Amino acid sequence: MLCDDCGKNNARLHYTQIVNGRKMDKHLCEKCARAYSASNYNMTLPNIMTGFLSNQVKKEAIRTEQCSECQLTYDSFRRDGKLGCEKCYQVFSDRLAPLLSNIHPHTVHKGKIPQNSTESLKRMRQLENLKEQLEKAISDEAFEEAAKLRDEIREIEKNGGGSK
Amino acid sequence: MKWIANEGDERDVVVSSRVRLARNLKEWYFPSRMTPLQGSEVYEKIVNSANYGETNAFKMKDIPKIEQHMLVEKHVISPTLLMNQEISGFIMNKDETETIMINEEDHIRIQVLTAGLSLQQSYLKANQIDDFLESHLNYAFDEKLGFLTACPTNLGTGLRASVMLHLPALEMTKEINQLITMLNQFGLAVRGVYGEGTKALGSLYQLSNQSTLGDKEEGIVQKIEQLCRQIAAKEKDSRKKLLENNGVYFEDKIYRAYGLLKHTRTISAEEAVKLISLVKLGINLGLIENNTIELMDQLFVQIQPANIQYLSRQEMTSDERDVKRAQILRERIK
Ligand SMILES: [Zn+2]
Ligand SMILES: [Zn+2]
Repeated sequence: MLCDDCGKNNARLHYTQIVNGRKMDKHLCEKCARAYSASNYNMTLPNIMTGFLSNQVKKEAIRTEQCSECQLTYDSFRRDGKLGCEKCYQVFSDRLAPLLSNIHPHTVHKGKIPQNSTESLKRMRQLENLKEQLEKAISDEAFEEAAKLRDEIREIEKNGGGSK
Repeated sequence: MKWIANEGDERDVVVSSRVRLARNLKEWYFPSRMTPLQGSEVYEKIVNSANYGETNAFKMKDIPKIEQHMLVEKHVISPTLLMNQEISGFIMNKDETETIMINEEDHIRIQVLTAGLSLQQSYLKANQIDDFLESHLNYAFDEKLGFLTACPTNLGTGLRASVMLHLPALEMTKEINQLITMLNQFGLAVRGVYGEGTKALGSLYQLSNQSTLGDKEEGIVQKIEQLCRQIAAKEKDSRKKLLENNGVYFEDKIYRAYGLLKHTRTISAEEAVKLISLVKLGINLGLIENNTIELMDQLFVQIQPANIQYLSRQEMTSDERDVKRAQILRERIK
């Protein structure tokens, strides 16, 4: 199998990562793997290195797995339940995912967004709100209002906003 | 105790409402990983961004121990804030209803605390403060995960809305157990305000949202407020029924508590909380006059150890506190 990133060398390493609830597989050569782990994806070193590590080494590695930014180990998080920095959420994302869905019934943020959020996020939120209002207008049989909302939604969607 | 003096909705049952928003600054480690130097930089940064009204800023290490604990007993700051003394502090408005805790578990904890049932209003206020801070600061935020917090239990909205309820009647009729089960199913956590574990000393319960991620802030707050109105109605109904059905035995319980508080010479905080709770119920039902429920809510706090020592301006042994506590109760209760 060839490396997913460069497509030239043989893939030697296999990474599994859960990003925003979606499982992602990556097969990389050693050179690209180094670049990958240095990138802000922050691959979790010991994740699954097919054929390279014995089980015991793997376990040890998971415990000492560290955030590249604040140096917090996963073990330390398990002890006192506190993450060290915003990057920890990326580094430990695959291990946090099941934990998060245990604590919170939905794992996607629907609430307030910062004023300096990206335009696309703002637009997406605006669309969501309008669609909610539309549903309500329809169930209230406020059809004039509904028609107005539908036009507004179309307008925004036409202007390149709101994927999905 | 200034917040307690305010009038509030459903005051018969709801002692107070509290909204808390957790936020962190982008590009800074969370407080537990910060060096003291980074900690004080963040402290300054936040204090300098928070001139939105008449407030004062305090460094934790500048505040005497007894006063620190007194503020915790008043629920104005959290116990966790005392753990990071080297870097923590808080900003507070004059009537102690709005607090911004700095370098607690997160860089920022905005708290709005008011008497009675007022979660929606409190959230609006907290949201305003949040907007103000955000116009000067950059928050750690992820599009999918929301506001990033040190503990994943606060992730997303960072919002914890909680209400303190006085539920003596539902406790006496044992309906409380069923109620707690139901509230848990609705995603709300219930715990005693005083005392350990499931025992709620003085029938005081704290109810709060368990999940912070996936729901809108307004929805979280509205749901709790609606549930509280229903609980309040049920509690008031049970109170009336208890009085009707048990007459003299019920009255006896309350007047005995009243008598004890008015004549005690030494009393523990635990016993005092139980008795104040009964007298409060007596006031609610019109059995005891010349005293207000606001006074009882104040006493719950003012008979706590640090408050007594703060009032006496000295450190005291447990025995000395018990005597002082009795004196306070005799003087304040009419
Ligand atoms: Zn490659
Ligand atoms: Zn980290």
